[in-house]
Amino acid sequence: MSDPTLLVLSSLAEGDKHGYAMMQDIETFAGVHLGPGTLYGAITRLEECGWIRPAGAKTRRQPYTITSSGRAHLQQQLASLQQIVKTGLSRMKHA
Amino acid sequence: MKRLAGVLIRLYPFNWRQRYGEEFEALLEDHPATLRTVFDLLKGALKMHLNVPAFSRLAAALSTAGLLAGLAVSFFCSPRYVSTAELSYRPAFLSRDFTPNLMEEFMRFKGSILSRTSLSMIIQDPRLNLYESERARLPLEDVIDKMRNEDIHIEIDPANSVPGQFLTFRIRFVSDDPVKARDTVQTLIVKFMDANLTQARAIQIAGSASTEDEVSRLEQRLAAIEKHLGIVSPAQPAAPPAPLVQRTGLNLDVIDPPTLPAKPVSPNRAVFMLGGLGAGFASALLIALFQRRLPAIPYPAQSV
Repeated sequence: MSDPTLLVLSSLAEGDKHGYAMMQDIETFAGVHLGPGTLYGAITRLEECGWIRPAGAKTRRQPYTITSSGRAHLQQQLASLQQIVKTGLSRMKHA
Repeated sequence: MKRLAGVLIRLYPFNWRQRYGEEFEALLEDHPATLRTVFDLLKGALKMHLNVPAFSRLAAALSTAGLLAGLAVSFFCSPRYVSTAELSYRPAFLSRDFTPNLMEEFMRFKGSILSRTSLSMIIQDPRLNLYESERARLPLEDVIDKMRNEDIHIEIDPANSVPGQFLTFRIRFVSDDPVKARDTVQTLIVKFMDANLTQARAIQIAGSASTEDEVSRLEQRLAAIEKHLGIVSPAQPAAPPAPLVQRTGLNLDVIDPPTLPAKPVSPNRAVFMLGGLGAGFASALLIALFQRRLPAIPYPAQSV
């Protein structure tokens, strides 16, 4: 799972975070280092889709929060991934 | 590096910077700046530009225009034809005292063929009528330089050469006329043969002179010995001169005669079109970077 948008949504599912905190969190739970350009590319796309929004007042280190539609999207994506993982592992056992 | 990263933010679309610029700068202050970060920022900036509909339309329009311009320019370039011949050079062993160094001789021949005198003769040969328009507006020296540095290519083929045994080389000539290209290569081959023949004759003369000197010296010694011993030798007819070895460029073979090119090698229309396409896209990027405001980008945060 290396889709930056999914990683950002997964990170924000735990709570509101600003850009640098998201980068550190993603590196910890997924072992993936997102560059600033990639991270803000994902943030821009997610905000366009309405799946995240800025949390609280505008500051230089702007935190973001996941919206309810973002949470639903993440749930759907993770379920799909889970199905893929389950099928893959079961096929590996029988191979 | 941090400063460079700060400068790279300016590559992002103006409206995007208006919305995210401040927090993006804050992130770069926290993030260690590496070469990887720079590439990531460049990639991100390009993606952001491509996401802007106005930029995509501008890039598509300018790239198409560039492609068509490249195609049009290619039609204005005069076609260039290349004729090629392949020759091999072997030692002829003209003299027992002389074993030629093939590479050295080849370089000497090449030097004499590409000399100013030799090339000016080829250029001014009325049968070839080369560089007619160039000669009308440029001094002969410049035309010679062009011919030597741009149009004539004489190269050894190392894959088909064995040091000390034989040497294969190619002569190529580029011209806007296929027949002139072929005839010029033919003339260059003849010049190689002439140079080879001249060299062979020089070796023969040097070899003959030394043999004659040696024979004369031996005859004088023999006569002195006969005189000392009181032997009177009968008059003998003069020995016939040693048969001449044929030395007519035996060691230079034409493997492939000059070709008559059917198709031009340039202009390469695909290269012109790709160049135009690239230039068009680069222009769109430059315009996007320097234009303060492209039409509004629907960043959702603008309405937050």
